[in-house]
Amino acid sequence: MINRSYDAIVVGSGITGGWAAKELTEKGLNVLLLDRSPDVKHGVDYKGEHVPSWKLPFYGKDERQLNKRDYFISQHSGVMDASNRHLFNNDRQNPYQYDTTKPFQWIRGGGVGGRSLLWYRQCYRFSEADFKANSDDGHGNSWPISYRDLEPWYEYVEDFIGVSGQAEGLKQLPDSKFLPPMEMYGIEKTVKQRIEKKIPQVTMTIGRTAVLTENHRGRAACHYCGPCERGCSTGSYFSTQSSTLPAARATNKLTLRPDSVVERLEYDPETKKISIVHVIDAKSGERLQFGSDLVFLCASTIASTQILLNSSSEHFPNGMANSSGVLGKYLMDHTTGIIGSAVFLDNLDNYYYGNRPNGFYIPRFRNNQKQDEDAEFIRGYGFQGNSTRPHWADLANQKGFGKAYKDTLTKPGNYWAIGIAGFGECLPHEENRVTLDSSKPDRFGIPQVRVDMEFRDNELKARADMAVQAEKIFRAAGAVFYTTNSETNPPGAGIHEMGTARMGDDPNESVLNKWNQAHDIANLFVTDGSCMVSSSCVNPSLTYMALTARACDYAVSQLKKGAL
Amino acid sequence: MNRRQFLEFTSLILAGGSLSAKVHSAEYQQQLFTLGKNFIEQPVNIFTVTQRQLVRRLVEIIIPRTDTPGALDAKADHFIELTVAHYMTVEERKTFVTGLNGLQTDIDNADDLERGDLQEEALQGDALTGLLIERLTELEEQYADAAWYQMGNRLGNGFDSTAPFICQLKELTVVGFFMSEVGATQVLRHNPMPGDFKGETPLATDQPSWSRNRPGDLS
Repeated sequence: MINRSYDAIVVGSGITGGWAAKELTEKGLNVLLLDRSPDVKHGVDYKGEHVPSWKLPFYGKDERQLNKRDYFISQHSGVMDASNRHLFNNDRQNPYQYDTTKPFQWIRGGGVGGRSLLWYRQCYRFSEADFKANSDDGHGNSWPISYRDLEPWYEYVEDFIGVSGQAEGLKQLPDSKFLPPMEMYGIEKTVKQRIEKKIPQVTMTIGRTAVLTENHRGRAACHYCGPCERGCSTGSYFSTQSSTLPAARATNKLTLRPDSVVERLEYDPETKKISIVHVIDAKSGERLQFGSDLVFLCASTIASTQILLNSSSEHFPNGMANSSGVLGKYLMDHTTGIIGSAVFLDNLDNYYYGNRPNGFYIPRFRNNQKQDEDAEFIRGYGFQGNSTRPHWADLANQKGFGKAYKDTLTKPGNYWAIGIAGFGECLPHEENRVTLDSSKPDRFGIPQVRVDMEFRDNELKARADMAVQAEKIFRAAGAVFYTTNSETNPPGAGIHEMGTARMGDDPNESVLNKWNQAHDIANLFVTDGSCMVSSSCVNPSLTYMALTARACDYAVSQLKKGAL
Repeated sequence: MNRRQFLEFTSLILAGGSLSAKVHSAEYQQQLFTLGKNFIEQPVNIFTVTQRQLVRRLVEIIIPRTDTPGALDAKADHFIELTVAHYMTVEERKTFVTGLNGLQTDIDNADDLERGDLQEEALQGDALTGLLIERLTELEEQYADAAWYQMGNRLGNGFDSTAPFICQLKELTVVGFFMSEVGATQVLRHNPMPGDFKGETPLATDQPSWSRNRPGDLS
């Protein structure tokens, strides 16, 4: 029996799914929000929140046996431990395929709210140039929208989620609607002053983050306890649970169904619409069918692509809504990894109070407006950094023991260290792709995803340049010692995977139109990272949110006009 | 290594493996958080009485009680026993126990020590402590130029299986001390709910660091 009680079905409850649920319910639709994972209730299920180190197994040291067996991908997130492991994907239960010579780290959430609970919360707008990059240099397809199209929607989502940051008036990094910025460490203020004096094209600003620096829309300002990724019962950072889910629930039009694995979508050639969403109950194994006027896929880039690929039919032999043949192709992720660390002997009489869940940001300063003459790569990159006054754990590996050793370890180390990570733009390559491996069904009988992705020449050349520029920055900043490294983490590790169901004006070259609506199927919208046409070098979540809100607005207006 | 030590050594390695599954189960962890017990309150019994006494001596030498509590006050020795039993791989456990037994052999062979020295309450300044400090210094000297003593370490990133005994011992003592309730709250400064962030505050020379949420935290 097909359950047709809902006006709209949203698949996935992470950052974009939460937004779709909020927008669609607030516009009067009855929404069914499906998530493959178990429920995570705000507050009560953050079982590691505020748990002190001495209550964690082995005081929080990585639990290698468990991670190796069940969390061999999730552990690469860098923020998983016993306090929040239940919020991560179990990689043994939910496997995917890749060639081991070309590793791809698909780091997933494992509960309702998905990665919205676990993200690093950095929020940056794409710039005008980002939306023009593909058409300007000919790599990849043209965006069907411009910055101007998205600008009001950026403002709309920023106003709701609350983004703290400092306005800088930079063309390459448009300012958001900001809550007050977090403070820089003293050493960062020193370094900023030196860098901006000696290398004027480099700007150093505090990270722009979806963490509240003042009370905002019923959510409390951050209390600076530190590890946001354990969940925040005061809702001080943006997550589905803290923000969009309560808004959607307040309409009394939301039904959340956890443990609901979407197997495939069914297309009706007569109505030319999605008629049924096929669901498997992850706990009981029961098969369920839901029908609705509107379907929003927000399951995350690879998962949404998997659903579409697994929804082939006579009409769409190569995957749902894939008449263009580009579905699954042009997978992107940012190159990431520590590009350098430096030691400073300034501001030694400075310390800090509270745990800042944020770092600093050096926006793109290469190939801005025009190609730099000395750049052997196109596009750009940004640096995200953080500073630390060394603690006992940084100081422990030195000779000696006894009282002197204890005293040294008890006090802050006699230097400041700054580490910076590079986030590099990735060009859309057709060969970087997601396919289905039907020889390897998962525990629900759904073919596993196979990911083939490599960073290529341009990404690696930009990476090399990052190390050169980082050295210049460290010198200008007055570092007494520094190291640089141009290696990138493997694809996927940036957790910014995107691009496999791209938008575009031409239905022969893209899956989605400028409203995130499938060219082939009027009642199907895809608004997670899979819709992206290019990657910019900035963190993409804010853009996904803006695109989702915009798509919802359009979808409901079309629905009301009877155009769907 | 004599026959007794060999047998203890073998049984210890086997025992550790069979206990691990329980500690690593989801139920154990769920219980741990909901009951709110300290990790250190988990019972463990893998060392012999002699080994346990030796570890007590060693942690107190590495981080002694001064005007603030030391490693024994923080039960870092118990943390080490739990870690050796349930965290280490067979190879790592072998390295640790071999190192520990090596020290025991040195004690057994020392002429000027009384049998009862290990049981004595006085932990500082006696002949046994003197011998152990001498031995630990020698062990450290062997690795003085190795990566173990360069800036940057692995405290937050699992555990390096190639770490020699002296490094295992020091690392676990340090983590077992500074991450413990005693170390974090009575020796370091602990402020779980700061309520504010200030990036530039004055630092007095005798001020301890803030405690950490995890061994690998940046700040």
